[in-house]
Amino acid sequence: MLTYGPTRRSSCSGRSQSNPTPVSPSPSGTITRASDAWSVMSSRHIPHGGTTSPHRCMATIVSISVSPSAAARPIATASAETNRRLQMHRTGHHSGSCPQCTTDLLPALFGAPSDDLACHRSEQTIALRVMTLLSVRAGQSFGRDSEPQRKGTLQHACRAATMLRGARSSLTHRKALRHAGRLWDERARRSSCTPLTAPPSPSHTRALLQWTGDDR
Amino acid sequence: MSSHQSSREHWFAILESSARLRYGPERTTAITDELRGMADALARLLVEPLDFADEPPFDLLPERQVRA
Repeated sequence: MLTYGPTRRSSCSGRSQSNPTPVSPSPSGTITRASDAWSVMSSRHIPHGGTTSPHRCMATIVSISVSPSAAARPIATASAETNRRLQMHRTGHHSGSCPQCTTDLLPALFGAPSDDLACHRSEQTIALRVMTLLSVRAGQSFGRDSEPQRKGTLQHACRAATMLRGARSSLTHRKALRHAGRLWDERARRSSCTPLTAPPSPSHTRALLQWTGDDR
Repeated sequence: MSSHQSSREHWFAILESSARLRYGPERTTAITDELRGMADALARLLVEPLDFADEPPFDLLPERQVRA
């Protein structure tokens, strides 16, 4: 199981957790360090009036952190074309350049108007955006013990990305994002987990579309 | 420090300033550590093979069934 930081009490029934360790509550008694971090991640507050956002920060960090050597590893059962495109993402985005037009891609990953990203509506770009956003949302909803849910959500995001194969239209893009959001809404609804922090929006689909600028 | 590490630290600095503004200096270190852990976990997820076969392709019931 993929984990980060010390393992804490699971809020999920029927899900295994290794070495469960209670986490002391914060002085407020309600906010944990993990939810503080998710709160920072989900904040729209921009320090010093800059043009970036915590979402974009984390997406960029994750993009930088993905090891190029891992790009050679195939994604099991995904199509060869999907693997090729995702591997392009994993390698090409380290330079911050779009493999098609060499434009600096990192500023375009988040926040830019959708219509300005026609060239960047490639599968690998969408995969990164969707995976990162969904993972952030999963963390907000399920807390730090959310690896099973988060991994499942990422798999859904990959499936959504495969829907984009060969497609560049905004309509297809929206359809794929809605698909991922619906899957996640359903997953959350069915889950036996008690969210550690309430989702800021009742609809993940709507939030996802808003965050990716596709709610128009 | 490589350019990748430098870029990474630059973006972490932005997150850290967000944390400081939101929660103050005392809790910022812990939050920043948490964010670093999250970033590492996300990066590992992205390089792991995603096995689509461990779940059905679509686990969403048809809308009619959900409504029923």
